[in-house]
Amino acid sequence: MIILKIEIENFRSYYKRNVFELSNGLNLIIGSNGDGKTTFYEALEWLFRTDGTHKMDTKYISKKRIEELFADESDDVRVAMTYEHKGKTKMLEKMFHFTKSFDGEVSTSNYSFNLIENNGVERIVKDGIRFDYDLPSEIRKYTMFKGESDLDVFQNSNALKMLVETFSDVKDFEAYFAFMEYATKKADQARDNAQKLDKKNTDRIKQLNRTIEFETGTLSDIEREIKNKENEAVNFDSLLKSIEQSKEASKLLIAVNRRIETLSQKRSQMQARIDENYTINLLDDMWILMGFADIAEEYSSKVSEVDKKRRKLEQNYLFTAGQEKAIKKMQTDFVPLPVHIPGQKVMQEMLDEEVCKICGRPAKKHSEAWEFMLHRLEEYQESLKVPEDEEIAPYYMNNYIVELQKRDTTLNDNLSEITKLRHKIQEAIAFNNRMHDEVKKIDANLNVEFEQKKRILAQTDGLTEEQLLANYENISNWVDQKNKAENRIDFLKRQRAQHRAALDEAQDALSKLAEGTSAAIFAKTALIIRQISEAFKSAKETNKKRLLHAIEDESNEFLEKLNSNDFKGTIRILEKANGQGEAVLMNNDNTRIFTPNTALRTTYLMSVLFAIGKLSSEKDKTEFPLLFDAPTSSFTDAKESEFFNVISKLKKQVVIVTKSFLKESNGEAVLDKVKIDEVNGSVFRIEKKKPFDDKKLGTIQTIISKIK
Amino acid sequence: MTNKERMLHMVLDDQKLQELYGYNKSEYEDLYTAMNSDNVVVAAVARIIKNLDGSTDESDQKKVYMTVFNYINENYIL
Repeated sequence: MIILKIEIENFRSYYKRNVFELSNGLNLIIGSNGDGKTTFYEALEWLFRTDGTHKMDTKYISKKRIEELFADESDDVRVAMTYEHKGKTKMLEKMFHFTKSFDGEVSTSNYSFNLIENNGVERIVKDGIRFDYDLPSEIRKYTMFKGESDLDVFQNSNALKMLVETFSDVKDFEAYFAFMEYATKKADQARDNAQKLDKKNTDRIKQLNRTIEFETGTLSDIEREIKNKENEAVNFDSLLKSIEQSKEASKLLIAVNRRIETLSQKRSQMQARIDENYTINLLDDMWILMGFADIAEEYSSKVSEVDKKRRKLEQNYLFTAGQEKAIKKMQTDFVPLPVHIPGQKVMQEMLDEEVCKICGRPAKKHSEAWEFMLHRLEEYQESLKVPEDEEIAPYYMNNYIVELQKRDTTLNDNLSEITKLRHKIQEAIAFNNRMHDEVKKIDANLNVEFEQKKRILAQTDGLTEEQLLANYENISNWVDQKNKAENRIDFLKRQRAQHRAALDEAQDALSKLAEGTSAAIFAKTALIIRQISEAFKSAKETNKKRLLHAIEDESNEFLEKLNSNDFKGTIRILEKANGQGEAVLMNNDNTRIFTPNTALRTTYLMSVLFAIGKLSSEKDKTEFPLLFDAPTSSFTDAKESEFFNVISKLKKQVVIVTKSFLKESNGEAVLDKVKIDEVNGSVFRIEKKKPFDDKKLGTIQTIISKIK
Repeated sequence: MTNKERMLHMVLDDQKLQELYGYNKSEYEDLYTAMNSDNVVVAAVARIIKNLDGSTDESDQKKVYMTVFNYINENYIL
């Protein structure tokens, strides 16, 4: 099948009718972002859809065309492909009508999907779904690929089964396999029925049948467990493979996280040791006095001088005040004796002699006269006393000097400490500075670790930190589980071989027992059917293996061509225990290359596609085109040119939509003519028609120019 | 070569079957030759492939089984 022409009309950015005349070989459709590359690919996807879905949708209609229409005007969306297949030229055409109403709404109608043949005499219009005969849907899925990530055909879990059904030498093995199981069971039943007539060996037959039943049941259990264990092993293997790429990253991340934790702890410890409450220290720890020792001494001597003065003044004051007070007392409270009474001594003498020497009269003791004299003497004596409770007004009304003196005393006590303060403060500040330096160093180390962490996370295909850490924790567990499953499979396989041998033995014994009896032929027939069944089973496996080997061989040939000057490894197509296929790349030491670079991955997966394409060509005696949307995004310029050159020599129609071969010139993407000249094949340039309004979709129109 | 013929070749290619029933697989290029073979196993395999015709229908399976079973029963010489 060769695509001759593709017409796209009013399909999104393809305004009105646009035509690509393709050649048999490499066809490059080059465009920059937004120029209509993906739209081209999607137009073909829409055209090739034969399942009756996605018939009409306003999203397919060219916005520019809609805006251009007046009310009640209409036009068509149409995608058509003219192709040559087995000597006939046909056109697959899908279209629908759209009309703009007075209120600007767009409605769709008249969907049609036709396959038009022209036999030279008349034009025969058939239903478009007949395109499936020319490009079967099972092959179609191996002809169109969108982006590099879409290239792995085995991503689809049914791919291997589909490939075997579509491309293997022998089809329908499944049906024969099912039939042989049925026939074996029936033939065994027939044999058992026939042997029931053999009375002589009844017990032995019963015993053998019990053995056969037991061995069959055991084998079935073992098979089931093997399958389960194989699935388990595959699942754990897949899980391990899925994290294989991130294993190193997980390890690194854990190490980095540990370092971050240790450094953070150290940092906290350092930080906690820094005491910079200097304001509090100034007052609480008298740091404020640092450098004030001289002043303290001056203060001390001054206070001492003032205090001395104070004490003297106060002493003088008190002395003077005491004197004045005694005099005053005498002046105010003294009981004067009569002038003729000389004094106290005379008074005492008179009392002792019991005579009043002033009046010359006796004054007997305790007489009224004597008592009078005594009273007067007592009064006199009393008057001489200064009352003790009478306070003298202090000389200093406030105790300021005393307070200053007290401070001075404290200061003097602490003066030695104050002189040490400078050293103490210097030490504290130096210690804090050292701690700050340490923290800075830790911060620098932490920054390095955080940067490393960022780099690890940025390069792990979108895995989060939690996923990476969980992966690491799971690795040993999964490896363990996988090993356990594999060991169990080995054990079960040995068991299976033993039970199969026991089953074969019992069946042979049963057949031999039937020899010479009427059941002999039934036993032999059952045995033959069982043996044929085994032959079908192994043929089915051989059939699959042959296909896989054929794909492998062809793939490696393509890989050799596509990657001639580079490391390439060897492609192997593996069948997993769950029946899924997997295209892998192996090193020459038969170890798997899990992380080929993207360009190598693209080429090896594309080689598998080309191999499948070749198989499909051989099957239908016709070639099928391959359509790729941006398959070489990861390629370097040199690799890309080499790749396209190889493809152009493959004798296969390949349509590649790409933004390669464009280079920057004066801020615009222009074709790299030199590189284009190096490529054999047709080249189309698609681009947005200028001018356009970058805010208005209705101004966007893809225009096509054929470069060569 | 048809699918059935390819299947015939692949089944007759079975080493154990060849050893047990002593046939030369290269003598059976097509289904017709295999069906008319004197070798009961070869003829039985050919009948299975031809008559089942890729069907998974149980009634077809039953018919084919009866044909093959009877054929072996009647033609295999002990």
